[in-house]
Amino acid sequence: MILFKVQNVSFVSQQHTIVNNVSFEIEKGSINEFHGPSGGGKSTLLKLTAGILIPTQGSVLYNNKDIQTMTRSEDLHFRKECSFVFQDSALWANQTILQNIQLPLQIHFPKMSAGERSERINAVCAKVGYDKDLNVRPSDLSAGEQKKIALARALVSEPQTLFLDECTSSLDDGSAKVVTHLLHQYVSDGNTIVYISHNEKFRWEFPGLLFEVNNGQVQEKAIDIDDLR
Amino acid sequence: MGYPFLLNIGQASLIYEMLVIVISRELGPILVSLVVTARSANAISTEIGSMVADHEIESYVSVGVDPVEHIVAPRFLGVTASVFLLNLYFSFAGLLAPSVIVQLVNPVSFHEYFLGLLQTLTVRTILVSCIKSILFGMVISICSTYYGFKVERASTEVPVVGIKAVGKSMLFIIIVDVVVTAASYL
Repeated sequence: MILFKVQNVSFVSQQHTIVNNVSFEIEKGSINEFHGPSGGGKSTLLKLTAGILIPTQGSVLYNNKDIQTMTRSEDLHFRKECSFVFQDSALWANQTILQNIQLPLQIHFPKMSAGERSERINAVCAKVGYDKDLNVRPSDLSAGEQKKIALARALVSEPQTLFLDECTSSLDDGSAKVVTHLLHQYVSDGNTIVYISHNEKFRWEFPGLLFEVNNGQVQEKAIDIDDLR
Repeated sequence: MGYPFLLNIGQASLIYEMLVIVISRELGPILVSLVVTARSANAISTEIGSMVADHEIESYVSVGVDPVEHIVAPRFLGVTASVFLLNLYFSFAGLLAPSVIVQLVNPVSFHEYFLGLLQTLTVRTILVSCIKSILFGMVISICSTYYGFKVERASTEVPVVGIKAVGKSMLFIIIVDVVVTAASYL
Protein backbone atom coordinates (compact mmCIF):
# COMPACT_ATOMS: atom_id res chain seq x y z
CA MET A 1 0.00 0.00 0.00
CA ILE A 2 1.36 3.38 -0.99
CA LEU A 3 1.58 5.77 1.95
CA PHE A 4 3.28 8.81 0.44
CA LYS A 5 3.17 9.91 -3.16
CA VAL A 6 5.55 12.76 -4.00
CA GLN A 7 4.51 14.24 -7.35
CA ASN A 8 6.73 16.59 -9.36
CA VAL A 9 7.86 18.42 -6.25
CA SER A 10 10.20 21.40 -6.51
CA PHE A 11 11.39 23.67 -3.72
CA VAL A 12 13.00 27.05 -4.19
CA SER A 13 14.50 29.02 -1.30
CA GLN A 14 16.23 32.39 -1.59
CA GLN A 15 16.23 31.99 -5.40
CA HIS A 16 18.05 28.66 -5.19
CA THR A 17 16.38 25.51 -6.46
CA ILE A 18 16.98 22.97 -3.69
CA VAL A 19 14.65 20.23 -4.92
CA ASN A 20 13.93 20.02 -8.61
CA ASN A 21 10.86 18.23 -10.01
CA VAL A 22 11.10 15.10 -7.88
CA SER A 23 8.62 12.21 -7.90
CA PHE A 24 8.67 8.98 -5.88
CA GLU A 25 6.49 6.81 -3.68
CA ILE A 26 6.87 5.42 -0.16
CA GLU A 27 5.13 2.20 0.80
CA LYS A 28 3.60 1.42 4.15
CA GLY A 29 5.84 -0.63 6.43
CA SER A 30 8.94 0.03 4.35
CA ILE A 31 12.40 1.31 5.21
CA ASN A 32 13.53 4.21 3.07
CA GLU A 33 16.75 6.14 3.00
CA PHE A 34 17.60 9.50 1.48
CA HIS A 35 21.28 9.38 0.75
CA GLY A 36 23.68 11.72 -0.96
CA PRO A 37 26.29 14.41 -0.51
CA SER A 38 25.89 17.24 2.01
CA GLY A 39 23.91 20.15 0.60
CA GLY A 40 22.25 17.91 -1.96
CA GLY A 41 18.74 18.62 -0.64
CA LYS A 42 18.13 15.51 1.51
CA SER A 43 16.85 17.29 4.63
CA THR A 44 14.67 19.61 2.54
CA LEU A 45 13.21 16.64 0.68
CA LEU A 46 12.58 14.83 3.98
CA LYS A 47 10.75 17.90 5.34
CA LEU A 48 8.77 18.25 2.10
CA THR A 49 7.71 14.60 2.30
CA ALA A 50 6.74 15.02 5.95
CA GLY A 51 4.62 18.08 5.12
CA ILE A 52 6.76 20.44 7.19
CA LEU A 53 7.81 22.52 4.21
CA ILE A 54 5.39 23.55 1.48
CA PRO A 55 6.57 22.70 -2.05
CA THR A 56 7.02 25.60 -4.45
CA GLN A 57 5.61 23.31 -7.12
CA GLY A 58 4.01 19.87 -7.11
CA SER A 59 2.25 18.00 -4.34
CA VAL A 60 2.77 15.40 -1.62
CA LEU A 61 -0.06 12.94 -1.08
CA TYR A 62 -0.52 11.00 2.14
CA ASN A 63 -2.99 8.14 1.80
CA ASN A 64 -3.99 9.77 -1.52
CA LYS A 65 -4.77 13.12 0.15
CA ASP A 66 -2.81 16.23 -0.69
CA ILE A 67 -1.14 17.37 2.56
CA GLN A 68 -1.52 21.03 1.56
CA THR A 69 -5.28 20.83 1.13
CA MET A 70 -5.98 18.83 4.29
CA THR A 71 -8.54 20.20 6.73
CA ARG A 72 -7.41 20.99 10.29
CA SER A 73 -8.68 17.64 11.61
CA GLU A 74 -7.12 15.71 8.70
CA ASP A 75 -3.85 17.55 9.28
CA LEU A 76 -3.91 16.71 13.00
CA HIS A 77 -4.54 13.07 12.17
CA PHE A 78 -1.65 13.12 9.69
CA ARG A 79 0.69 14.74 12.25
CA LYS A 80 -0.30 12.14 14.83
CA GLU A 81 0.57 9.33 12.42
CA CYS A 82 3.84 10.84 11.16
CA SER A 83 6.56 12.14 13.46
CA PHE A 84 9.82 13.85 12.66
CA VAL A 85 13.20 13.82 14.39
CA PHE A 86 15.23 16.86 13.38
CA GLN A 87 18.94 16.81 12.69
CA ASP A 88 19.57 19.41 15.42
CA SER A 89 16.84 18.00 17.72
CA ALA A 90 14.84 21.28 17.53
CA LEU A 91 13.52 21.02 21.08
CA TRP A 92 11.53 24.01 22.31
CA ALA A 93 14.07 25.97 24.29
CA ASN A 94 11.58 27.83 26.45
CA GLN A 95 9.95 24.62 27.70
CA THR A 96 11.16 21.86 29.98
CA ILE A 97 11.94 18.38 28.71
CA LEU A 98 8.68 17.16 30.23
CA GLN A 99 6.70 19.87 28.41
CA ASN A 100 8.54 19.06 25.18
CA ILE A 101 7.44 15.42 25.31
CA GLN A 102 4.02 16.25 26.70
CA LEU A 103 2.86 18.67 24.01
CA PRO A 104 2.22 16.08 21.26
CA LEU A 105 0.15 14.09 23.77
CA GLN A 106 -1.86 17.16 24.75
CA ILE A 107 -2.60 17.84 21.08
CA HIS A 108 -3.31 14.34 19.84
CA PHE A 109 -4.81 12.83 23.00
CA PRO A 110 -6.59 15.73 24.70
CA LYS A 111 -8.73 13.41 26.81
CA MET A 112 -5.80 11.38 28.16
CA SER A 113 -5.58 11.53 31.96
CA ALA A 114 -2.55 13.09 33.67
CA GLY A 115 -1.58 9.72 35.13
CA GLU A 116 -1.76 7.93 31.81
CA ARG A 117 0.19 10.75 30.17
CA SER A 118 2.89 10.59 32.81
CA GLU A 119 3.08 6.81 32.47
CA ARG A 120 3.52 7.04 28.71
CA ILE A 121 6.19 9.76 29.01
CA ASN A 122 8.17 7.69 31.51
CA ALA A 123 7.87 4.62 29.29
CA VAL A 124 9.11 6.42 26.17
CA CYS A 125 11.99 8.03 28.10
CA ALA A 126 13.03 4.59 29.34
CA LYS A 127 12.85 3.24 25.78
CA VAL A 128 15.22 5.90 24.41
CA GLY A 129 17.53 5.51 27.41
CA TYR A 130 16.91 8.85 29.15
CA ASP A 131 16.75 8.45 32.92
CA LYS A 132 17.53 11.95 34.19
CA ASP A 133 15.42 14.86 35.44
CA LEU A 134 12.55 15.82 33.13
CA ASN A 135 12.12 19.27 34.65
CA VAL A 136 15.19 20.82 33.06
CA ARG A 137 15.47 22.92 29.90
CA PRO A 138 17.00 21.53 26.69
CA SER A 139 19.98 23.87 27.13
CA ASP A 140 20.88 21.92 30.29
CA LEU A 141 21.34 18.72 28.26
CA SER A 142 24.14 17.51 26.03
CA ALA A 143 23.54 17.20 22.28
CA GLY A 144 23.19 13.42 22.63
CA GLU A 145 20.60 13.74 25.41
CA GLN A 146 18.70 16.28 23.34
CA LYS A 147 18.64 13.78 20.49
CA LYS A 148 17.15 11.13 22.81
CA ILE A 149 14.44 13.58 23.94
CA ALA A 150 13.71 14.50 20.30
CA LEU A 151 13.21 10.80 19.57
CA ALA A 152 11.04 10.41 22.69
CA ARG A 153 8.92 13.38 21.60
CA ALA A 154 8.50 11.82 18.15
CA LEU A 155 7.57 8.39 19.51
CA VAL A 156 5.29 9.43 22.36
CA SER A 157 2.18 9.74 20.17
CA GLU A 158 2.88 6.27 18.70
CA PRO A 159 3.14 7.31 15.04
CA GLN A 160 3.03 4.90 12.12
CA THR A 161 5.72 6.72 10.15
CA LEU A 162 8.94 8.14 11.48
CA PHE A 163 11.10 10.64 9.60
CA LEU A 164 14.62 10.60 10.98
CA ASP A 165 17.21 13.19 10.06
CA GLU A 166 20.57 11.96 11.35
CA CYS A 167 18.95 10.44 14.44
CA THR A 168 22.13 8.81 15.75
CA SER A 169 24.47 11.76 15.30
CA SER A 170 25.86 13.04 18.62
CA LEU A 171 24.98 9.74 20.33
CA ASP A 172 27.62 7.59 21.98
CA ASP A 173 27.92 3.97 20.85
CA GLY A 174 25.82 2.63 23.72
CA SER A 175 22.99 5.10 23.13
CA ALA A 176 23.16 4.51 19.37
CA LYS A 177 22.68 0.79 20.03
CA VAL A 178 19.63 1.49 22.22
CA VAL A 179 18.12 3.69 19.49
CA THR A 180 18.90 1.11 16.79
CA HIS A 181 17.25 -1.64 18.84
CA LEU A 182 14.23 0.59 19.43
CA LEU A 183 13.91 1.34 15.71
CA HIS A 184 14.21 -2.36 14.84
CA GLN A 185 11.25 -3.01 17.12
CA TYR A 186 9.39 -0.09 15.58
CA VAL A 187 9.90 -1.41 12.04
CA SER A 188 9.06 -4.98 13.00
CA ASP A 189 5.67 -3.69 14.22
CA GLY A 190 4.88 -2.82 10.59
CA ASN A 191 5.71 0.87 10.80
CA THR A 192 7.46 2.97 8.17
CA ILE A 193 10.73 4.83 8.51
CA VAL A 194 12.27 7.36 6.19
CA TYR A 195 15.75 8.35 7.26
CA ILE A 196 18.90 10.24 6.44
CA SER A 197 22.12 8.99 7.93
CA HIS A 198 25.80 9.27 7.24
CA ASN A 199 26.47 6.60 9.85
CA GLU A 200 27.42 3.45 7.91
CA LYS A 201 26.59 1.19 10.87
CA PHE A 202 23.09 2.61 11.06
CA ARG A 203 22.64 2.28 7.29
CA TRP A 204 23.75 -1.32 7.49
CA GLU A 205 21.17 -1.96 10.23
CA PHE A 206 18.35 -0.52 8.15
CA PRO A 207 18.68 -1.52 4.52
CA GLY A 208 15.70 -0.74 2.32
CA LEU A 209 14.83 1.46 -0.58
CA LEU A 210 17.53 4.01 -1.32
CA PHE A 211 16.76 7.43 -2.76
CA GLU A 212 19.99 8.93 -3.99
CA VAL A 213 19.56 12.70 -3.64
CA ASN A 214 22.00 14.94 -5.45
CA ASN A 215 21.58 18.53 -6.68
CA GLY A 216 17.88 18.36 -5.91
CA GLN A 217 17.34 15.30 -8.10
CA VAL A 218 16.38 11.82 -6.91
CA GLN A 219 17.38 8.43 -8.17
CA GLU A 220 15.67 5.38 -6.67
CA LYS A 221 17.49 2.09 -6.05
CA ALA A 222 17.67 -0.78 -3.56
CA ILE A 223 20.41 -0.57 -0.91
CA ASP A 224 23.24 -2.96 -1.67
CA ILE A 225 24.31 -4.43 1.68
CA ASP A 226 27.61 -5.55 0.19
CA ASP A 227 28.33 -1.95 -0.75
CA LEU A 228 27.76 -0.88 2.85
CA ARG A 229 30.03 -3.64 4.15
CA MET B 1 4.62 74.46 33.44
CA GLY B 2 2.25 76.39 31.22
CA TYR B 3 -0.05 77.17 34.09
CA PRO B 4 1.56 80.52 35.16
CA PHE B 5 1.44 81.71 31.55
CA LEU B 6 -2.22 80.76 31.15
CA LEU B 7 -2.89 82.43 34.50
CA ASN B 8 -1.26 85.67 33.29
CA ILE B 9 -3.42 85.84 30.18
CA GLY B 10 -6.54 85.00 32.13
CA GLN B 11 -7.05 81.57 30.58
CA ALA B 12 -6.26 79.41 33.60
CA SER B 13 -9.21 77.12 32.93
CA LEU B 14 -7.56 75.99 29.69
CA ILE B 15 -5.03 74.03 31.73
CA TYR B 16 -7.54 71.22 32.14
CA GLU B 17 -8.14 70.97 28.41
CA MET B 18 -4.40 71.05 27.78
CA LEU B 19 -3.78 68.31 30.31
CA VAL B 20 -6.52 66.09 28.95
CA ILE B 21 -5.51 66.53 25.30
CA VAL B 22 -1.76 66.27 25.82
CA ILE B 23 -1.69 63.48 28.38
CA SER B 24 -4.70 61.32 27.61
CA ARG B 25 -5.14 61.75 23.90
CA GLU B 26 -1.68 62.45 22.50
CA LEU B 27 1.22 61.74 24.82
CA GLY B 28 -0.21 58.73 26.68
CA PRO B 29 -0.79 56.33 23.79
CA ILE B 30 2.31 57.30 21.81
CA LEU B 31 4.73 57.36 24.75
CA VAL B 32 3.48 54.05 26.11
CA SER B 33 3.62 52.40 22.69
CA LEU B 34 7.16 53.67 22.07
CA VAL B 35 8.26 52.27 25.44
CA VAL B 36 6.59 48.93 24.64
CA THR B 37 8.18 48.97 21.16
CA ALA B 38 11.64 49.49 22.62
CA ARG B 39 11.10 46.84 25.26
CA SER B 40 9.04 44.18 23.55
CA ALA B 41 9.12 44.50 19.74
CA ASN B 42 12.79 43.63 19.68
CA ALA B 43 12.33 40.84 22.24
CA ILE B 44 9.42 39.25 20.34
CA SER B 45 11.02 39.42 16.91
CA THR B 46 14.37 38.06 18.09
CA GLU B 47 12.69 35.31 20.10
CA ILE B 48 10.62 34.18 17.10
CA GLY B 49 13.61 34.67 14.78
CA SER B 50 15.74 32.41 16.96
CA MET B 51 12.96 29.82 17.01
CA VAL B 52 12.83 29.86 13.20
CA ALA B 53 16.63 29.59 12.89
CA ASP B 54 16.70 26.70 15.39
CA HIS B 55 13.87 24.88 13.53
CA GLU B 56 11.60 25.15 16.56
CA ILE B 57 8.76 26.46 14.40
CA GLU B 58 9.12 23.49 12.02
CA SER B 59 9.09 21.34 15.13
CA TYR B 60 5.74 22.85 16.15
CA VAL B 61 4.35 22.20 12.66
CA SER B 62 5.56 18.60 12.80
CA VAL B 63 3.50 17.86 15.92
CA GLY B 64 0.41 19.61 14.57
CA VAL B 65 0.68 22.94 16.37
CA ASP B 66 -0.37 25.93 14.30
CA PRO B 67 2.40 28.55 14.82
CA VAL B 68 -0.02 31.41 14.23
CA GLU B 69 -2.38 30.09 16.89
CA HIS B 70 0.36 29.13 19.32
CA ILE B 71 2.93 31.90 18.84
CA VAL B 72 1.39 34.89 17.07
CA ALA B 73 -2.06 35.04 18.70
CA PRO B 74 -0.92 35.17 22.36
CA ARG B 75 1.65 37.86 21.57
CA PHE B 76 -0.88 39.85 19.55
CA LEU B 77 -3.41 39.78 22.38
CA GLY B 78 -0.76 40.29 25.08
CA VAL B 79 0.91 43.31 23.49
CA THR B 80 -2.41 44.92 22.51
CA ALA B 81 -3.84 44.48 26.00
CA SER B 82 -0.58 45.71 27.58
CA VAL B 83 -0.47 48.92 25.56
CA PHE B 84 -4.18 49.53 26.25
CA LEU B 85 -3.84 49.01 30.02
CA LEU B 86 -0.52 50.86 30.29
CA ASN B 87 -2.10 53.80 28.49
CA LEU B 88 -4.92 53.89 31.05
CA TYR B 89 -2.37 53.70 33.84
CA PHE B 90 -0.20 56.40 32.27
CA SER B 91 -3.16 58.72 31.69
CA PHE B 92 -4.42 58.23 35.22
CA ALA B 93 -1.01 58.93 36.74
CA GLY B 94 -0.37 61.74 34.25
CA LEU B 95 -3.56 63.52 35.25
CA LEU B 96 -3.14 62.80 38.97
CA ALA B 97 0.46 64.03 39.31
CA PRO B 98 -0.18 67.66 38.25
CA SER B 99 -2.68 68.02 41.11
CA VAL B 100 0.32 67.81 43.46
CA ILE B 101 2.71 69.88 41.32
CA VAL B 102 0.16 72.67 40.82
CA GLN B 103 0.18 73.26 44.61
CA LEU B 104 3.70 74.67 44.26
CA VAL B 105 2.70 77.19 41.56
CA ASN B 106 -0.81 78.22 42.42
CA PRO B 107 -2.53 76.25 45.17
CA VAL B 108 -5.83 74.84 43.92
CA SER B 109 -7.97 72.54 46.01
CA PHE B 110 -7.99 68.90 44.90
CA HIS B 111 -11.75 69.08 44.61
CA GLU B 112 -11.55 72.04 42.25
CA TYR B 113 -8.77 70.41 40.23
CA PHE B 114 -10.58 67.13 39.69
CA LEU B 115 -13.86 68.88 39.01
CA GLY B 116 -12.12 70.92 36.30
CA LEU B 117 -10.61 67.78 34.81
CA LEU B 118 -13.86 65.83 34.83
CA GLN B 119 -15.69 68.72 33.16
CA THR B 120 -13.12 68.75 30.36
CA LEU B 121 -12.70 64.99 29.95
CA THR B 122 -15.12 63.84 27.24
CA VAL B 123 -16.11 60.36 26.11
CA ARG B 124 -14.65 61.24 22.72
CA THR B 125 -11.23 61.97 24.27
CA ILE B 126 -11.26 58.70 26.20
CA LEU B 127 -12.40 56.80 23.11
CA VAL B 128 -9.67 58.31 20.88
CA SER B 129 -7.05 57.48 23.51
CA CYS B 130 -8.29 53.90 23.79
CA ILE B 131 -8.53 53.41 20.01
CA LYS B 132 -5.00 54.74 19.59
CA SER B 133 -3.55 52.47 22.25
CA ILE B 134 -5.30 49.40 20.82
CA LEU B 135 -4.15 50.21 17.27
CA PHE B 136 -0.58 50.89 18.43
CA GLY B 137 -0.54 47.60 20.30
CA MET B 138 -1.72 45.80 17.16
CA VAL B 139 0.95 47.56 15.08
CA ILE B 140 3.72 46.53 17.51
CA SER B 141 2.63 42.89 17.72
CA ILE B 142 2.08 42.52 13.96
CA CYS B 143 5.43 44.13 13.06
CA SER B 144 7.41 42.15 15.62
CA THR B 145 5.88 38.75 14.83
CA TYR B 146 6.03 39.41 11.06
CA TYR B 147 9.72 40.27 11.16
CA GLY B 148 10.42 37.37 13.52
CA PHE B 149 9.11 34.95 10.92
CA LYS B 150 11.15 36.67 8.18
CA VAL B 151 14.28 34.85 9.43
CA GLU B 152 15.01 32.08 6.96
CA ARG B 153 18.07 30.15 8.07
CA ALA B 154 20.96 31.87 9.78
CA SER B 155 21.07 33.16 13.33
CA THR B 156 22.86 36.24 11.95
CA GLU B 157 19.50 37.31 10.53
CA VAL B 158 18.02 37.52 14.05
CA PRO B 159 19.42 40.90 15.21
CA VAL B 160 18.62 42.37 11.79
CA VAL B 161 14.93 41.50 12.11
CA GLY B 162 14.97 42.88 15.67
CA ILE B 163 16.11 46.27 14.40
CA LYS B 164 13.59 46.16 11.55
CA ALA B 165 10.74 45.29 13.91
CA VAL B 166 11.52 48.26 16.18
CA GLY B 167 12.04 50.69 13.29
CA LYS B 168 8.92 49.65 11.38
CA SER B 169 6.79 49.60 14.55
CA MET B 170 7.79 53.17 15.35
CA LEU B 171 7.16 54.30 11.77
CA PHE B 172 3.71 52.72 11.60
CA ILE B 173 2.79 54.01 15.07
CA ILE B 174 3.50 57.57 13.91
CA ILE B 175 1.52 57.04 10.68
CA VAL B 176 -1.45 55.54 12.56
CA ASP B 177 -1.24 58.34 15.13
CA VAL B 178 -1.41 61.00 12.43
CA VAL B 179 -4.37 59.29 10.74
CA VAL B 180 -6.35 58.72 13.96
CA THR B 181 -5.62 62.23 15.27
CA ALA B 182 -6.71 63.77 11.97
CA ALA B 183 -9.84 61.61 11.92
CA SER B 184 -10.69 62.54 15.51
CA TYR B 185 -10.93 66.22 14.57
CA LEU B 186 -13.26 65.62 11.63
